[in-house]
Amino acid sequence: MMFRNLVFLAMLSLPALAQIQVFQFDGAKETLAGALVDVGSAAPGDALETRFHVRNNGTGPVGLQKLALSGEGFKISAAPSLPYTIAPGAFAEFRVAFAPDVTGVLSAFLLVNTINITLRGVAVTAASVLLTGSKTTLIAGAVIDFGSLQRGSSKSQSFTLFNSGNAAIAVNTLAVTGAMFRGPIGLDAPLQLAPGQTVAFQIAFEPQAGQPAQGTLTVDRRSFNLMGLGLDPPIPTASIALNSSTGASAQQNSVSIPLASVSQVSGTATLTMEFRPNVTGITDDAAIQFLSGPKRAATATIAVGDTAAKFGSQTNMAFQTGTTAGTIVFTLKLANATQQSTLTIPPASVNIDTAHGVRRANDLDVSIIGFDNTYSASQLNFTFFDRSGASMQPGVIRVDATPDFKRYFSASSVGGAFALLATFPVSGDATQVGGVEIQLTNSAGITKSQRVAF
Amino acid sequence: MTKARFLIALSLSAAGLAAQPALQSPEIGLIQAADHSLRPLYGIAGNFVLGDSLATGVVSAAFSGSLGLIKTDSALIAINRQSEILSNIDAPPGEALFGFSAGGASALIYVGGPNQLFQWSQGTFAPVSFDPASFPRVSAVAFPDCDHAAIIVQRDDALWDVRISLATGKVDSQTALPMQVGPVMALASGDLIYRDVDGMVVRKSDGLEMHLEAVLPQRFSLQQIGENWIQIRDLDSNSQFALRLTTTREAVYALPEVEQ
Repeated sequence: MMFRNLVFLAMLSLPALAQIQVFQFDGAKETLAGALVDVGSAAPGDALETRFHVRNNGTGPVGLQKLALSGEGFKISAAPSLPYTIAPGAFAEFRVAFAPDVTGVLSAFLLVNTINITLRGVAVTAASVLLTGSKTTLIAGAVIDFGSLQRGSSKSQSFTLFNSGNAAIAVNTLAVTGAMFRGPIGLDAPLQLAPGQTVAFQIAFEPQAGQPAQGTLTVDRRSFNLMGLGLDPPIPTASIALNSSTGASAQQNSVSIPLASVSQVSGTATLTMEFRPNVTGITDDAAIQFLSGPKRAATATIAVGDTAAKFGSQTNMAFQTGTTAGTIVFTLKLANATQQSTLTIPPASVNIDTAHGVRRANDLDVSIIGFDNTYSASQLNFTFFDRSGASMQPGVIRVDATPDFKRYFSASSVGGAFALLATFPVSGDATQVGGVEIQLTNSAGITKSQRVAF
Repeated sequence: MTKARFLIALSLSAAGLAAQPALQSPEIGLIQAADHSLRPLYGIAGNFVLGDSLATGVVSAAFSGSLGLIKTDSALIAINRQSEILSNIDAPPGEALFGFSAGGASALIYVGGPNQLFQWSQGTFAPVSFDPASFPRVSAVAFPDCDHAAIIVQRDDALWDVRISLATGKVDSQTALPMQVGPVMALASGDLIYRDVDGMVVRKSDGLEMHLEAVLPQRFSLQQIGENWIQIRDLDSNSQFALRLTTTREAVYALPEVEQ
């Protein structure tokens, strides 16, 4: 009966023995574990973790049935639930922590299915590492989180080395790695710690970029993980600044986006224009536009070090105010903030840009180029003068041009701008006419021209 | 006859020019846009609106207010105020410089590539014979009078105004100009337009100079786009500017860009 059992056991175990192997894994590469594995050294209170891979090198699945550890100072810190089937070519990981309570050489027996491995660790006397103000000793591999910090700032954390033993301890290595961590500050190794002595040092977290940061504090053979999160500073508050805050039609003005402070980050802003006419029946004025790029939208960029957003290479963007009374609304969108600024174009009396008089054989042409931002031009008065400057009869010639302007503005594509030609048939000697004065009326007032010569 | 009889009626209808309504959009002129189109420019000073493209493939263009001249890669075209083609001739490749006569009805056209000079007069283009070897670097042309062409030449020391007889092609006179380098524009009136460190200068024929502050492109050309209006055309970007020459109203303005 016993013979039959042994045969049966052999039939089960041999394939398993042949298929699985145990490797030590350092995070990058596997090393076949021998009968004795030296896990390294740790101080009482520390935990030194060793990773193992149980790899199936066979062609069929194999079960990880047994995983056992016995020995002072050692324990399995992570393992899959058993039984665990490992596919061909795959592996299962488990971890063993060496956490001695006393000093000296300690060993333990590890059983993986039928593979026996002896683990050996050295528990050494070492200084305890504590966060200043805490009574809890940090174990090796502990994570010290500095939290999040704005790029360009600095945050220090104080640490304490403490000799809790009865003999002096030599600390030979005290080092900090990690591009965004600086230290140790205030303490240099090597150093001697007398029994009961404490010494302090600092590590500074100084992120130079808005990204996670990692580093290491090494105290002799023990390492502690440093972590932090660098944050980009917020983009500065921006405002909308008009070169001229006085609103008027037919002006070329410019807008800029000054920042409240020098920007530490880059970003993009969008500035849009919207026109709200104050003229009944009018919905827009095409001439109200930015003078570069899209007519009503401009993209501005902000670079590190800028004090104002830039439109291309310029810090301002020119725009036209059109020839329609109303309100130009600028909307700035930057990061998650939106703000607005308005430029009011008040109603104004008719503006005469140019006025000319041309004498022809039997006619006098009076041409006026100007704008009426109320679209309400009505009365035109013409007063002609002879060459001596005297007013000519019949005196003021009044014309109600309301329907003409109304018809024109209803189809205008240039806002309130207009070119008017008034032709006066003349009988007699037209050369006697020296000039004309024109008066135009709209809802905002009356405009008088200078005398226009023929 | 009393003076009262001189003025008998006022009409806002098309009494004077049958094709021209009494009220219309003010038109400043025609400009060569950055996309090499020719477009009407409407509006008034400081309030410009670009019209739709009238022509594409424009290499150079100018407009006097009544006469438009367009240079394409292979042709020279004259148009009237209504944008109707008056004449069209084959022309060698290259950019052109234009100089209008006083009143803007006639013009000289200099085509830089082959150093050819044309005259537009009385409805036709005609070549002007002259010695092109004498004018290696032409900066501008002007039409000061019906008998002469003024060719502004860049020489090592300065710009020179070289007057040639249109009848013979011979040089009549040469005068050093007050500026060292172009771009420059010479008008039939004798006025010169050029840049200085702060902007643009309008130098009247009597020597009076008006300096107009403006932030201008590094490289630009000058061409007339209407009566009393000059286009400052940025050669490196879409930026366009306009210089107003109306007496006492001289100023530099930015023009809207064509949306590409």
